[in-house]
Amino acid sequence: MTRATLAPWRERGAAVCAALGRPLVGLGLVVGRISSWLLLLVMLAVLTTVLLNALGVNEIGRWDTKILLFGDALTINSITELQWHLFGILTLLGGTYALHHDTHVRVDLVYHRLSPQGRAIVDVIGHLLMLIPFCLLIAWLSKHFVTMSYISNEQSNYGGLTDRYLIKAMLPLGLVFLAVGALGQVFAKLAVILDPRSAEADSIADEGATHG
Amino acid sequence: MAEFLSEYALALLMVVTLLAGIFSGYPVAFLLGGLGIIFAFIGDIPVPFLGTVGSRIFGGVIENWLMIAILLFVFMGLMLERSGVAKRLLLTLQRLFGRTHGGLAVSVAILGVIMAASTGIIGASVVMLGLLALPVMMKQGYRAEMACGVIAASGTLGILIPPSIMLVLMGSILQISVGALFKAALLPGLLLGGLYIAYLLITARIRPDWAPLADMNDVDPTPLPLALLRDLLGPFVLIFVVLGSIMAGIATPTEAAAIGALGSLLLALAMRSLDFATLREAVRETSRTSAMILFVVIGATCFSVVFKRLGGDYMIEELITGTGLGPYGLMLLIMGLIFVLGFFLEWIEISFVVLPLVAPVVEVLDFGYGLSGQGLLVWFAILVAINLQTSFLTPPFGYALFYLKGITEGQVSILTIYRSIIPFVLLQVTGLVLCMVFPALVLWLPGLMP
Repeated sequence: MTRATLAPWRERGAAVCAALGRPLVGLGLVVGRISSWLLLLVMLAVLTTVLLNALGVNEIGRWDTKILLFGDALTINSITELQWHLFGILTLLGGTYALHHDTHVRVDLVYHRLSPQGRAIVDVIGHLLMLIPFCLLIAWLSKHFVTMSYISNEQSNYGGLTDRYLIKAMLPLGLVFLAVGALGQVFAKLAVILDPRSAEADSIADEGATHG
Repeated sequence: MAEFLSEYALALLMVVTLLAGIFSGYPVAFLLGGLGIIFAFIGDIPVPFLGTVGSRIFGGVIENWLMIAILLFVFMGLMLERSGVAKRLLLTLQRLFGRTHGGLAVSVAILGVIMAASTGIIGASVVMLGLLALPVMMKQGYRAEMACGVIAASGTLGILIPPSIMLVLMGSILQISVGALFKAALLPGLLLGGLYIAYLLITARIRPDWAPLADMNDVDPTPLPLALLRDLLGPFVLIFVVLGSIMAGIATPTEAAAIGALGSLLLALAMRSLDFATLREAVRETSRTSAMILFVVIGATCFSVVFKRLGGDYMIEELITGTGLGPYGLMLLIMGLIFVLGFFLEWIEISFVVLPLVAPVVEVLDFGYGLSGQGLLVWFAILVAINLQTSFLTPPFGYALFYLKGITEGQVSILTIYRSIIPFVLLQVTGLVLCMVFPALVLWLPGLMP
């Protein structure tokens, strides 16, 4: 499609959509790149528990005032539970990161035969009809389970971490974050639908993302 | 029939829309979650009921220690690949078998068995092995049929041979011990690997021109024993420690995976190929790959809660038992179904959507070996694993073949790839039938044979 055949409103619409989508997608990518490093902390946490187990150490330290998440002692159970706290954050934020990199499994028998515009249409409909409602509804419904955890002062049954509501709150937060990322994708794909030429620019941006 | 349709109309519609949606190419994870929500509204399911989805996701994914093993195994595999440890392993294995026709193909098979286990998804395993081995094989003048077949087959064998992420997930879904599953998969996996190697060596003996010898002049000058020590010992010790500690029950899969991850870092360090860029890329790719796997779990949680509420599990049960087949008939039916689904879906979706539905039916079947409970499910899981692997290889839809085609850059036609895989599919079917007829192959090692 050449420049001449494209209506001016489409060109402008595409530019607006692309501009709206860019910061949302960018946010997801930046957060995803940073949260990826939690992986090394998860590994360290698991290795630490293995070591402490082998040494037969249970309590590492105890102090007088209660602090957030750790309560008043650091035990082997704190570190064991820290593993999945970190893992949970990594996974929930990683979902958005994977979305922007298009890592999520697709069955592309039909999809890869579609034009860039066709693919963009599939994704826009999917995000608006499936992904965003799922994220927002489940996030909204899990508010209750976070509140309950906060009110009942839920904590580890084994003398591990306290303040369980913190990690429970990550579920709705992560899902809302994914919905925001999906919205960014919707804008980016709308730009492609309005102006297919921007698909090329888009793929270059993707390329940059994989290397950067 | 009409009664059945009206009773399960919504559940049936849910399956149909899922299949239609899958074909549109929209990511399956999101489709599962979205359809759950949509059908909850169509089916007039009270909103508080959906509230359980959040706590199930929390309990099943975030709070689930086994899932951490997946993250760490993915990292281990990516690290070995990115740091070049895998490539040097291949080159050294090739030297070891260099004097035999077909030696390179055997090296690729061994590498596939060692490496592919941990990359997570079939696509990634085949692409990794293909990028690594195909150029080497083509340069050495291997016939395309020979090269492509062994890459696709050994790349997928990784989902069966422990430490396999699929087995970790299956253990979590079916509530059986991952250690037992690993032990159970070992003999069938080695049996298949052995069949591959025998086939490769025999073919290379009959047709030496299909598998020419390497030109020994351009290999690295280190004496072979030293090179073996340097490139082979590390990865072997790593796999041995990881597997051994799980099978011996010394370590949980998560602990073993963490040790494996650390080991892969140390190996890369020892090979002087660990720099910041490599680490960063491996870390980022791990985060995306494991999030991708776990979001299928999250989506499937929502889908199956609603599906069951709409009577979907009874529908499947009625459909399966309504056939009036005996235990082996039912097993064949289920295996046939999974085989066909394997054309369209990765093992991740199949494990999460299909296994929980058919497991209750399988659990009560009587095969006459006195098999029951844990043993029966372990046997079933391994059969499903071999079956899926075969499905991924079978033309014209096999997953692995498309990925392989993708990386050949037009040098090899899809028909050549189809031809290349036929012998391996036959070997797979042989292995599957053997494990079906002789459950001891699967159950002897974990000590579950009654």
